[in-house]
Amino acid sequence: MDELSLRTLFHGALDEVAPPKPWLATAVREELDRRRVAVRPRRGFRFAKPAVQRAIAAVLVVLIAAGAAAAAIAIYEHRHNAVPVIPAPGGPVTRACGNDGNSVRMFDKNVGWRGTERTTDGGRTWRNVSPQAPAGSVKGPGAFCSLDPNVAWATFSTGSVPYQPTRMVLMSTHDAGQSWTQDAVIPVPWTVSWRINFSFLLDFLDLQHGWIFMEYATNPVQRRVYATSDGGRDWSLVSNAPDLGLGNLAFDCSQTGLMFNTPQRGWLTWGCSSGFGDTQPSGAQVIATTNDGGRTWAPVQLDGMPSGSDWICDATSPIFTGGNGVLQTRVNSFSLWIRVMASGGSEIQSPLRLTAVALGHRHGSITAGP
Amino acid sequence: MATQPASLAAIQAAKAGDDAAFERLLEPLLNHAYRLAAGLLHDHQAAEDAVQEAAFKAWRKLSQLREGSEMRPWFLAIVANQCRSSMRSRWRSTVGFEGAEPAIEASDDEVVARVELRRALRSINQDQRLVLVLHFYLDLPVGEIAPIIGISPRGAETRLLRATNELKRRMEAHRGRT
Repeated sequence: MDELSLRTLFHGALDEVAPPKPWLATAVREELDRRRVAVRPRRGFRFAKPAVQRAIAAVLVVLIAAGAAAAAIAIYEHRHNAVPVIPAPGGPVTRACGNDGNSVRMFDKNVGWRGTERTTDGGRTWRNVSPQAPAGSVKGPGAFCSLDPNVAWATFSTGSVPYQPTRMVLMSTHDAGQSWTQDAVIPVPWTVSWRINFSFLLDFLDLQHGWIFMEYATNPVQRRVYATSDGGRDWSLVSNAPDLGLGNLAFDCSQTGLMFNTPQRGWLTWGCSSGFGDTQPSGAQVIATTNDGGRTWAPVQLDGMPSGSDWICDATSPIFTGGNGVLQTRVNSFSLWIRVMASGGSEIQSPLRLTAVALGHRHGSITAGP
Repeated sequence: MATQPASLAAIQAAKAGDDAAFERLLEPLLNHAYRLAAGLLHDHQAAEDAVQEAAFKAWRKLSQLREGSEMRPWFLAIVANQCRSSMRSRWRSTVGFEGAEPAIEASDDEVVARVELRRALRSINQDQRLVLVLHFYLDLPVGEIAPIIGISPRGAETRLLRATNELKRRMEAHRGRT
């Protein structure tokens, strides 16, 4: 899309959310008049003589410079003492297989998936192995999940209006995309409007056990979890509560993952610094877990995570090796690594010295340390 | 989109406490400020609130406007920061826009494209969203964007390029398979 087209699109798209307000100047003037009565700024007020001001300024400069130097030294030491993650022999890595189609998942040094594109030469070239879109496909949310080099699932929005799907069609391949089968048609349980975010996530633990998560960002939010134990042909609603019992946790935030590391234990994570709205999460809770296959869910309150209106939080879907895993959280721009246990429990590992590129992109297994 | 620089005398009068002078300086900037806020918040009422709040802060901070500085980039920076605070602290209903549904005369493809843009814009980080709205919606060149976001023109150009690429990538990602 060239610059002119993009600019035209911006004007069209944002003019819809910015109807003209000819009364704005009057409204601003009236509001200023109202507030000025209560408060008058103290312009030009001096609380000390110029010489004293210069002395205070000099002290502040010295203190700030010392603090900056200390921070620089700490950053230097951290970076140069980082322990690279090394692959451990054997041992499976369990991570969410679902993504939005843009993340790369390599199964060995040559073979991997990026949505419905596949590489066999380590990512140098990619081949589109997408299935034929089912009848009634419309633009809208979709999900993709690759379990191994040959097995993958993909979903399509279907309906009559873009971004207002009435049903999600699930397709699968067991031969690296050479052929696809339509496995199931899952009705969307709400009449969705394109104005309100509707999200769809997919995860498969193995060839039989899979889960679907749907979220419709009305207020209160509506959420559903479905499960299959036959590889995706039959799905049943497993969640008990219309909001999974999570209330408005991570309201209107982007989902970062649905992940089950056992048939019973699953994780939902959200990112609230890049959501579909500008809504702050409740405290710092952007992680929820289930211990009964998706029937009931509970938020995870991580010890040491800040709460309050000034903190925007993100969490990644966890990655497990055996009984332990890690996930990354971000509080505003500050990262925290969390060690999580497959059976429950978590602790902040700070600093967790990893080379981040190793997580999720190395084949075999990973060892998180120290 | 050039504007007449505010006269030095008008700014000095406003700094000296002439409220009417301040309002005369501010009024030509309000439309840009509202469009900026609406582009960042996607809510016309929230945008109006942000502009009013920013106007009050500008009145209180007018003494900080340097001699010879343009008022527009200074005020738009205040508006952008106000929008950032609003996004951090505000609970909002996600139920579409308030008021009547806008008349849509465009074809379906255009409607879809606009939805995709707004979704992609909302999913992008605030710094990138700001530079995109300033350039593609307020039609400001890089030279005028730089002082608003407080970086060099070269830095603004780089940020704009990255933001544009990221926006296009997200718009592609939001599209379903067809």
